[in-house]
Amino acid sequence: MTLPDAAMKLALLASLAARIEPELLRKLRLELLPGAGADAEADFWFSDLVEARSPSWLVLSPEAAETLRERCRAEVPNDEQERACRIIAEAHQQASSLVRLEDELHRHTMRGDEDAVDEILQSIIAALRGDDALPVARWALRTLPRLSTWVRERPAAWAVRLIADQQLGHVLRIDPAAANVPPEVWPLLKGALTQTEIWARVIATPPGVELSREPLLGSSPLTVPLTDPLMVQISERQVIVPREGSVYVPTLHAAVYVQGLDGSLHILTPHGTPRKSVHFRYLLLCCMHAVDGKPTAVEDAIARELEQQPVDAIFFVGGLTARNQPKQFKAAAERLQRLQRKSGNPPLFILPGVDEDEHQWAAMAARIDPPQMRRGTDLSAFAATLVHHGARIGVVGIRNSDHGLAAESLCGSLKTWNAAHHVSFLLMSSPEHDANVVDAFPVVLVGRDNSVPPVKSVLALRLSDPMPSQIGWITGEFEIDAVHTTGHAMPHSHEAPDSAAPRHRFQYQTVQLTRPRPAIPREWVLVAGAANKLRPDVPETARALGRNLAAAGYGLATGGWPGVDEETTAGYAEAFLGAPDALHNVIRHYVGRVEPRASMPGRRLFLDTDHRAVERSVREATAVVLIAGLAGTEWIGEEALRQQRRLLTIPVTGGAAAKLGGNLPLPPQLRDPNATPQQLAAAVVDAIRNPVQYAPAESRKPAFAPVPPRKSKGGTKKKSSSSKGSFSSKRSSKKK
Amino acid sequence: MRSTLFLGDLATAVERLAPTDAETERQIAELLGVVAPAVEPQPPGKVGPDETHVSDSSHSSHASDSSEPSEIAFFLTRVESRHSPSQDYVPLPIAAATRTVPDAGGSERDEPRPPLEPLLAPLSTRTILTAALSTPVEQGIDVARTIERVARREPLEALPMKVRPSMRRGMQLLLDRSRGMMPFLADQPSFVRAVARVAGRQRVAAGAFIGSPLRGLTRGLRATTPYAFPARGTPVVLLTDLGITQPEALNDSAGTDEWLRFTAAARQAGCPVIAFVPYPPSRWPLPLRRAMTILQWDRALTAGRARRAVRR
Repeated sequence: MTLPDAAMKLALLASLAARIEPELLRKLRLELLPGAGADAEADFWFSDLVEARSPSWLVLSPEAAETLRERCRAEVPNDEQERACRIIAEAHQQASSLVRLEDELHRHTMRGDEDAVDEILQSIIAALRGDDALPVARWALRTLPRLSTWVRERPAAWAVRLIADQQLGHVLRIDPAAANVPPEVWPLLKGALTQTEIWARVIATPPGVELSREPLLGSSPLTVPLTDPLMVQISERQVIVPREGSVYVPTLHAAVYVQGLDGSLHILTPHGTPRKSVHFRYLLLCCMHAVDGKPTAVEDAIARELEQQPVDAIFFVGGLTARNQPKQFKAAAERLQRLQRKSGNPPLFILPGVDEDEHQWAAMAARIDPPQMRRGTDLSAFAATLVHHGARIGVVGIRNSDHGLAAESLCGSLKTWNAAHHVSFLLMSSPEHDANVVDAFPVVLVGRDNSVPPVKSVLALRLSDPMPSQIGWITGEFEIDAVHTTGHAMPHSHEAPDSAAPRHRFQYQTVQLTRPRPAIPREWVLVAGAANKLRPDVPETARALGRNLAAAGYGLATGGWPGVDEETTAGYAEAFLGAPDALHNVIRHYVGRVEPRASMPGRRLFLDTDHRAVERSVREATAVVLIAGLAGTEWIGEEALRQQRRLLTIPVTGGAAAKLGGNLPLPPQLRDPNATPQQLAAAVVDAIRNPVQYAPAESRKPAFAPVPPRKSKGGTKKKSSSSKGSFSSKRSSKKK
Repeated sequence: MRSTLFLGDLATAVERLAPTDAETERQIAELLGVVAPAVEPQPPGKVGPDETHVSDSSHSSHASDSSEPSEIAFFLTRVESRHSPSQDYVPLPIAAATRTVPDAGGSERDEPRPPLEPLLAPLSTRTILTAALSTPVEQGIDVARTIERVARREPLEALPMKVRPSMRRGMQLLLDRSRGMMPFLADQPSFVRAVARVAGRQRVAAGAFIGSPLRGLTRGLRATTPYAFPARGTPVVLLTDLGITQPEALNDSAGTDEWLRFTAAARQAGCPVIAFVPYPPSRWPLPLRRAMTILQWDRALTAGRARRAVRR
């Protein structure tokens, strides 16, 4: 609906209010739009933007409210926004606290104040856990859909919705086809969700786990949150526990973990009952090398630490051998087992060094016991998952001056984990060893001495809080004594915390990272293209596009496929090496029937069909960019046109991009065969930023057209049926 | 000949003659041509029950027979004995008609409403209403013109009278409760209070309607009662959108044709129609501009504009 200018301006200002009364509308008009008449109020009142109206107040439709707030943020000067917020606050002075709370949320959303928004959401969570939770729960479920997507997707907002749902007596409903609950939400849900019991039985050969709601022979009970459907996570895969019967889930090795929605973790082994549900706060991840089979001071200290406080799992990262020598391997394995026994035999997971031959390693590992000492790349994913779900990992790395097995192994492992996890600290002996590590992780403590630390080294600082984006350099002398524990993150000052240095003083020097953490994007750009047989210029173009999108503040959406998707993601991730743990919030992969590579950073949104993945990825994107590609890429382009999304292709990359780009009004650089990848990427981002200049006229959306209804089933089915097979197979066979 | 005596005249007579009982008061009223109030229930087809004077509730309106517009008369009761001087106005008996529709939300309904900025400029409201709602009334013999005509030996078929704008005729205030007026419903009670302060409580009779008064008067959402015009010369003041809004699916508003029928009936009854409309002149239906006096119910309205519009 097209509104007169005055009514539209009034709507923009009023969208900052939780509830719009005639009195508020009048005040906004008279104070901020003195030239507008009373008809502006009526025009807005009866516009299509309004979902419900009564003589007392009106409520905007959620879609319109979000669009209006976005436009208000972009078009209305800041001082007018502030005045509008002040008027709204005055008008709602006598309103209920919940109305004022929603006003505040809108106000902080306009300012992009993440901390303030989170603080309010946390206060709501606290209220939901209180005695008078029911009205708050009702209000929360009514209000959340009206908040901006930026707010709704915050972990605390997820938690509010889930807890409120439970407070009203509903079994937590989960849509397996919809977005996964972000891992950051889980710690917020602890203790707030109704629990139920399921039964799990580990099967050694072939390795796997069987889950049921009823006891099975040899099974053990696990307590997990009650959801509908009842869902748990095994090795990063979501598994639905059926109401009747059981489900068997194959795993790569016999020691598996089962994770509930709230992050409760159960480690299962074939030989014993599951360890009790724990929330990993501290996971010792060791990286060590063999030095002539002798225990090092580090090892001793680790053993002491394990005796004092057993851990739930031990991870070894790094080479067990130097240059693949079997003897060293055996000695190292025995030392590991000693550590394991001292800690009460927790599961032992090993990710070996990068230069250890896989087959030789397997042959060596077969000779040792227990069998859960296994090698596999999924161990790294496991560890990353633990970190995602609240575990803090301390990494101790001691590097032999002869070679950098341990450190390189560690770097390789960390990179395998999508570079998206929390590492409390990383202790290495050489500051110049690997600049990438220093650059890639939140905190790196580097020993001053470049030689093998014999007896002087810090073993571990157990940090219970998230680390600031700082690099700390330990520059002073210190003495090995014990594992020191701090209750907070790296000090902001140059003074070491007392608890970290019981005997000797640490000297810290903090260096601020230059790369900022990415903000949660408000707009997403879907990139699709060729999966294989890329022309030489395509990977660099995709990477450049990823970098430019990151720099411009857009979120990246892909299908999670190799090729263009992977290259663009890599380019995007490069821009945020300083905050790898935040990539989860800025990169999305819409996954259909076939799961893409696990090594790509970003959040995966699992949908039950490929069509839904394509439909939703396009729907949630501001713009769609095509690079080369075949039939699958063309399908995405056609879907973008159907949904009237901004479609940009890079015709010089050929394929579907050239085919669909023939009739599109595109920046001339995109058709220039002499343009460099950087120029192409810059032109694409520029075109996205300036839709008026480049967007095709027929695809431009009216400012406030109602959200078009989803395509009827007939239409989608027709497309699906005509493809004669799944999207994945189509993409695999044609595009890829 | 219709009486042109008003409540003030009756009050003066009663004050001078000091009758000792109500019956004598009634007889004085009859002598002055002011019909005594009916004590019997109103016959159907007359002034609706919701058309109530902005006065004490015991002073109900009077309905005349169907061939004559209704005459209005009052029992005389000393005001100071009924209302404390500190009260700004007598609570309007039309409260039931002007109350907002209850909301579904339980607790939110009880929340105090934010203060409402009136549509008319607060400092000018009094002068605007005075200019807009006054009607010309004869007030005493125009001695100068009489002498002049006598000096010219012209016959005096009727005594020349002085004519002044006055609100002594009172007014009938009709509030449009159609859904198209939803954004402005909260303005109606304050407008009624402002008119009552300017014209006097007893001179304002208020009622509500949905669509147009031709559909009858309403009380809340209840069944309607047929509408009847007030005494000849008494202005009918409308707070309405004249059907301009006509939002889709909310079409209980009246169209231009219906409003034209209403203005034609008002003309026949001798009642000028003045409509306060919250839309600018550019959106007023052209036929209605000619048929009635329309004033923009907004800050753009000044006393001068109101005066010019009424004289036109």
